Amino acid sequence: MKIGRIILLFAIWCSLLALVAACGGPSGPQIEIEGAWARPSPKMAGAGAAYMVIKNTGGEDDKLLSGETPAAEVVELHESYMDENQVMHMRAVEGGYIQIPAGGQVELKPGGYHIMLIKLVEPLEAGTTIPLTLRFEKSGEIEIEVPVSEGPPQ
Amino acid sequence: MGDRKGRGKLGLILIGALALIVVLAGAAFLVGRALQPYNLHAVELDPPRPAPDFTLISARTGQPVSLQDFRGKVVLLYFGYTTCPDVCPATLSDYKQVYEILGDKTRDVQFLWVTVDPERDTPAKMEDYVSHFNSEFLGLIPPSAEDLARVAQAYNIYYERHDYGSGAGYLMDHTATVALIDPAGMWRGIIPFRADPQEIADDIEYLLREGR
Repeated sequence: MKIGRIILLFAIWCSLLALVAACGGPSGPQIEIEGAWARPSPKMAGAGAAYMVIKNTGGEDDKLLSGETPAAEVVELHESYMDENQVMHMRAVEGGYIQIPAGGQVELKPGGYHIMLIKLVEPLEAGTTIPLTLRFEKSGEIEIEVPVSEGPPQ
Repeated sequence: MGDRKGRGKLGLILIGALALIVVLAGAAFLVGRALQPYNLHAVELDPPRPAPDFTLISARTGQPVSLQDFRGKVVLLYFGYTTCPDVCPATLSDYKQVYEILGDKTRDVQFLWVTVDPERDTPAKMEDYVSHFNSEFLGLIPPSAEDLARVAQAYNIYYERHDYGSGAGYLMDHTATVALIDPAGMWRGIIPFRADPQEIADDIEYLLREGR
C-alpha cells in the first residue's frame, strides 16, 4: 500500500519533470549583437555614436536599458527621427529603453537609434576598437568590442 | 527587259531611302537624348531662384565670408552643430564621399557648414570638425543670433534648442537637407538627408557642365 503510493508519487513527479523539460526549452530572450561600429570622431568633438544590429532569437521580448564604456563618461540611448519637413530631431529614447522583440531585431543606424557616447575620453580613432557593455532587462550585461570605422563592417 | 531594269533601280532607291531613314532616325534619337534636359536627383526648385546672399564668419580665417565669394563654384550649404553625434557626421561623411568621387573637380565645388549652435561652436571646434572629414569643407559661424535666424529663414532651415537633461547638454533639432547652388548663384535644388553620394556627384557635375 505504502510502496504503491510512493511509486505513484514518483510517477507524477517524473511526468511533471518531463513536462517542464518539454515546455521550458526555448523560453526567455536570446540576444545576439552583429555588425557593431562607431564612427571616428573629430578631435574636439564631445560626442560620438555606436551602431549595431541587436537580434533576439529567443521566445520573449527584451529591453536594452543602458550601456557603459571606458571610452566615454556618459552613455545614452538616443533616437534621431525626421519629421515631414525634413527636420531632424534627436531625443533620448522613449521610456528610456529600446525594445528588442522576440524573434525579431532592431537596427541601430545613422539617422535612427544610436548609442550616444558623450564626453569622449579621447577621440575615436579609425582602426581601433572600444569595449562596450550593454545592459538588458532580462539578458543582463553583454560585453562587445566595437570597431571604429567609417561605416558598418562589410 | 527594260521593265526588269526599272524595277531593279526602284528596289535600289527603296533600299537607299530606307537606309537613310534609319540613319536619320538614329541621329535624331542621339541628338534628342543630348538635348534632353538632365533631371536633378535633388528636389529641384522650379523655377530656380537666386540663392539668398549672406555674410558669416569663416571658422578657418575668422574673416567674413559671403555666398558671392563662391560665384563660379557649385555651393553645397548645410546647417548643423558639433555636439551632433549622429545626423551631422553621417551627412559630412556622405559629402566626404562626394568629394572623393568628384576628384579634381572639387576645385569648383564648395561645401559650407553653418552652425545652428554658435553659442557652443567656437571657430576652433568648427574647424576641427569639418577638417576631420575634408580639409576643403568650410565651417561658418553666424556673428549673431539674428544673422543665424536670417540665413536659416532664407534657406527654409528650421532649428530649435531642446534641453531635457542629456549628458551632452542641450541638443538642436534642425533641418537636415543641403541647398544646391549653381555656379551662377542660382538655388537649384534641395538634397535630402542620406542622398546617394554618387547621385549628388552626378548633379554637381551636371551643374558644372551646364555652367560652361
